[in-house]
Amino acid sequence: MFLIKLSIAFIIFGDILLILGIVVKRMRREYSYRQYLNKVAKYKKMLKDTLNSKGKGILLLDKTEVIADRGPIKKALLECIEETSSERREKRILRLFREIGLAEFYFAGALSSNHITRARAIDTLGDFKIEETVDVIVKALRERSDIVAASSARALGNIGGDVAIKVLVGLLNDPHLAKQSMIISLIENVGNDAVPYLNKILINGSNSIKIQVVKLLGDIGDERAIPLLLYLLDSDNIDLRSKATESLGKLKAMSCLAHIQNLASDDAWPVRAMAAKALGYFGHPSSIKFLKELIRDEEWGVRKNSGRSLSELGIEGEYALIEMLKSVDKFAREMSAAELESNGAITKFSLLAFSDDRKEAENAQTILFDFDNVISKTSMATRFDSIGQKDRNKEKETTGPLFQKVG
Amino acid sequence: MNFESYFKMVEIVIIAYFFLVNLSYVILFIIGLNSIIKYFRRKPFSGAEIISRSKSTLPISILVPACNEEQTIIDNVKALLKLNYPKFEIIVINDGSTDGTFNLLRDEFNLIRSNAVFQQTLKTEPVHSTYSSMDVSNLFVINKKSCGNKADALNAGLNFSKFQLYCAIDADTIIENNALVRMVKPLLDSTEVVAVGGIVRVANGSEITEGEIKKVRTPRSLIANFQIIEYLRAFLTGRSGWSAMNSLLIISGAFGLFRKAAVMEVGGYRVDTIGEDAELVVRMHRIFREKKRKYQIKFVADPICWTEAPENLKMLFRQRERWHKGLFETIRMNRKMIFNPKYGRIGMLALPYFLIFELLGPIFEIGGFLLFLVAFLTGFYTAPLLLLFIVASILFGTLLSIGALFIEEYDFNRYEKWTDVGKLIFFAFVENFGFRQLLAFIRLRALLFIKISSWELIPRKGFAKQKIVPDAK
Repeated sequence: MFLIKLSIAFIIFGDILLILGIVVKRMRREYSYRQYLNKVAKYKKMLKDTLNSKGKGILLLDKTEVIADRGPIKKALLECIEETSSERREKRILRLFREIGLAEFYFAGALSSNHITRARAIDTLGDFKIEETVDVIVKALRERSDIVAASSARALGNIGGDVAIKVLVGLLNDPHLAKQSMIISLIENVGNDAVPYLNKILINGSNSIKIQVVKLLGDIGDERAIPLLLYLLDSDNIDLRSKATESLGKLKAMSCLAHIQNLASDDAWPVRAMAAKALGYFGHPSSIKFLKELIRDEEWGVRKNSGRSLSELGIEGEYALIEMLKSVDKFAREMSAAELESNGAITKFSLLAFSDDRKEAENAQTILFDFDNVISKTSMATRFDSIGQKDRNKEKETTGPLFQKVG
Repeated sequence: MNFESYFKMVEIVIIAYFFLVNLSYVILFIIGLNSIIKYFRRKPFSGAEIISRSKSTLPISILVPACNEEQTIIDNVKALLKLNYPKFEIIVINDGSTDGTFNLLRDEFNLIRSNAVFQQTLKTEPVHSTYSSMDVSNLFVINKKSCGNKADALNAGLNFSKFQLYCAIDADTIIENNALVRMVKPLLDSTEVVAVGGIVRVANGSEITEGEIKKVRTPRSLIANFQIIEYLRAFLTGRSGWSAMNSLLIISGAFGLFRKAAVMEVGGYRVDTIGEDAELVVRMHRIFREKKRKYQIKFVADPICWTEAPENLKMLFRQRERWHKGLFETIRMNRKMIFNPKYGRIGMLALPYFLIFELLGPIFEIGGFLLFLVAFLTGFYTAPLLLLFIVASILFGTLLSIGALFIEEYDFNRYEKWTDVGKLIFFAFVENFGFRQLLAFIRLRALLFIKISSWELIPRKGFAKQKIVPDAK
């Protein structure tokens, strides 16, 4: 009995404590947020005064005060950087970050034994583009802690500049896949400045790195990569050749169009598939005859890319696909039908079939008839890539109740 | 043995029950609190930004089974289309709706009939037609014959979906913009994770525009307010606690992310149960443990899905009866796991807990009150001990409810206004004096009149009608 009474008292006490906890937490949050905003405004004003040379402003603060209020000061500095459009002024703000001693503080933080402190400090150093910290950041990048490594890579990406880019490109050799993909996306963000370094890797690097670099160069889209990519089209390595083809397509290097068109007859199907894709990127009508050949290819991937590229070639490509609906090759017919369906052409013709213009309606109806003809004989699910990739013989076997055709 | 001795024995059983149930709540609360604190400490470094931008993030098929959901379906799909996730497809499965669900979708998103052909890996009722949108490339609608079961609709959606991961949601829910990015993290971190559940919270009363929660507020309805507390308690303490022990048995049907291959491996959703969500999770536990496969089923407290809770007693009765029947069926279908050491913590801990404290709990709860009442009225027995114990149990409920609110305030802080927090504290007390007993009664009624039923068509008010005009007061 006593125990139960004690429990009731304890529960009531617990309830009161929890409610007080909620109230106190809320009040503290609101109070500290208001304080924080006031401080940000105060420091921003001081910063602006300093920048406008109306006195020493923020430089008058002593070091302890700066470190105690590092949060609002950091926010004020970053807001000022965001608000300014002048590069000179931005550089001055960054210099102020060092002059008031915050750079030093975060630099020490980057060497802390606590990994979360390290990560946060490195993030801040990255925000303020402190180039001298690149060495520390690179060291941190090799740490086992993913949090620190991620912050370091982000910081390097923010800092940019020759040293940081060089380090980032060098890190492509990292065997840790997750880090590698992060580094690739950071280099992509750096953009054109990274191209000379990436080009160097194309000359000296191993094939596996070269493949990644080729892809990166295609994504960055800098014309300085074209000569080396063109050179790689003659490589013995199929993956390298196919990636170079794709990247040249992304770069829309018209000087290479003829080379890419020639690759439509390459022995390796991945290269043919990428050539089909690249021809779509170029969007040049002269590619239609090559794509019409490629859509008959024995490999599904090549046919799929050709279909998509023909779609991307606009009205001429669409006519080519319509023409292919009557092809003698079953798989070319099916791929054309699938592409016409997924690019919305069939929907368009379904609407045009009821057009007031008789000629237009008849034309649409003929196309729809051809399309239905192909679809009704289609034994495979054209909607899904995975099913479409199956071996041809298997496709023939999987007719019947396994698939449910609707509509 | 005389009558008084029997009475004493029953009293001891009920006291032991209340003691054990409260003890388990305390343990779950502590474990859950610990895992939530850890989660929020690590959250800034979860790499959510990288996940949301990366091309290599696994794409997700979002399955939205809908049966007569004309009030909420458009808002829901609009919210889904705005999700911050690199690649996803939305598949609305119109399960024989007789209202304007399909027509609304067709007009709003410019749907056109497509001759899609897909593999019917899981057996379902026939699909009449499939539609794709001319406006948005990642929206598909399947019209199927209804067999009156949400599980069948989900299976049809699974057959149609093309990505490795799928997210099953209810058509009357709204998912927060970054929810998928946060939820997919455990699945990207480890291939052992086969399913992840998110937190479901009550949206009634909140300000919602174009399928997005703008301001979280409390509703006027008493019942909806009680449910806010109830949901917070269930998700923040219960599920996070079970998840920390890798013994999570329920991933809400309103919001769950699964590895499609794992679900296919266990045979998809069972159509002969109304608690298909819990049944699937328990079956996954059973089959994977039988196969001695390493797997994990996780709960993430942060990705939030907002749902519309019933605001009147009739609807609440129907919903809770359905849930309890679902729990009964899940336990019945997987009964061989109970107290079977072969199934580890699931068989020895989680399932017995759900059997004794969740499924059979109402018998003890209502039984305890009745015993006290009868004994008191007949003057046969004054039972001060039992009375005090019941009072302590009820008060303990307030402690858990306030505890859940405390976690909400510390980690989520979604209610901006002081008045809303005050209101919730008030309801956290009041719900223990009547509402919880009412729920126990509903569950007891469901347990006594078990009958397999189908989709519960709960009339919705619709999110659009819940908009609160700021400064209305």
